[in-house]
Amino acid sequence: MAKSSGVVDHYFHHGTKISGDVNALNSIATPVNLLPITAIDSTTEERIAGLASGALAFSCWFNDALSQPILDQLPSTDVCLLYSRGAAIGNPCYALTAKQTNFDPTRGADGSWIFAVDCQGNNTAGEWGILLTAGQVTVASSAATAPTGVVAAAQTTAGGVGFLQYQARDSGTPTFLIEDSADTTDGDDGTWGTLLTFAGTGGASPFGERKTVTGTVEKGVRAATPTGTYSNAVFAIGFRRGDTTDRESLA
Amino acid sequence: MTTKTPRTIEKVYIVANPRGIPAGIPVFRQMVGGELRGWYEGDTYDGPSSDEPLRRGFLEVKGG
Repeated sequence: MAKSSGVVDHYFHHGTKISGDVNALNSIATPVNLLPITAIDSTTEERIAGLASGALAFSCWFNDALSQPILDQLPSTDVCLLYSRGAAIGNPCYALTAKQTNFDPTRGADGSWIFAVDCQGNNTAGEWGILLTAGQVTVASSAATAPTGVVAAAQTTAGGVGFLQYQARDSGTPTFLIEDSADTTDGDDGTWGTLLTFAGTGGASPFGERKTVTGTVEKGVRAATPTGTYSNAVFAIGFRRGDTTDRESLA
Repeated sequence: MTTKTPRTIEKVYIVANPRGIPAGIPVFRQMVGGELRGWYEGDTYDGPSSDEPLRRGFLEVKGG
């Protein structure tokens, strides 16, 4: 990618793509608390990283056919969120596991009716990764061709994190995977090993999931064609390759 | 006197599971004749190229 606007972006709220109802993403944050540890023999402030978190806030039009029945639940359980900059494989995405704190309408004098939604990270920080699917995709069956993988310069050894946003299927039970390859030259050829298997399988209800994997991740990474017997699985997958400087070591 | 002909034992590749992939999930996949094919733990490998699966520990050699 080169310089880019945020025109035509996507947002998934615990599985369901509700971009068409979102008016604006007001904040996407990964705050890191800094702890001062300045010593008496220092001439400058010294700081180390403390707790990290994440937050995502957006405003939303009222739509009782899509987002309202999802957002007005205000579940006590976590919601997994995914924002994607565009919808091409390899594009940036931001993922967060969070508690949704509100769904508050404002009725403007001009007749507009907009809802404010805030989500605060729970037990994970906000994470930037890349899309492994072209936004939300529909895969007809386990015989379908896998999406083209993203090929880095070399393997890494600090694990990774997968982000699944599953919305629907027509029938059956798809299982979602991420694969890696050491010998692919173009993201399609080569041998692809199963790197990560998401715990959740596709059923009647949408869901989001964050799943980690430790150790070596080969240079090529792709969203595998889901396994199992099913028809028309609708989902999006993102991935963050771990780094040796991560707070959460996945080496 | 009978001369015994040495018997040739062919190599057989059995799919291993070094990453602990859950049952029912392919350990690895390759394209075969334009179609995606997966191999599961315990399968006998009969695919087009064993070099890379061997290098990554996805195959164990039996016999040979």
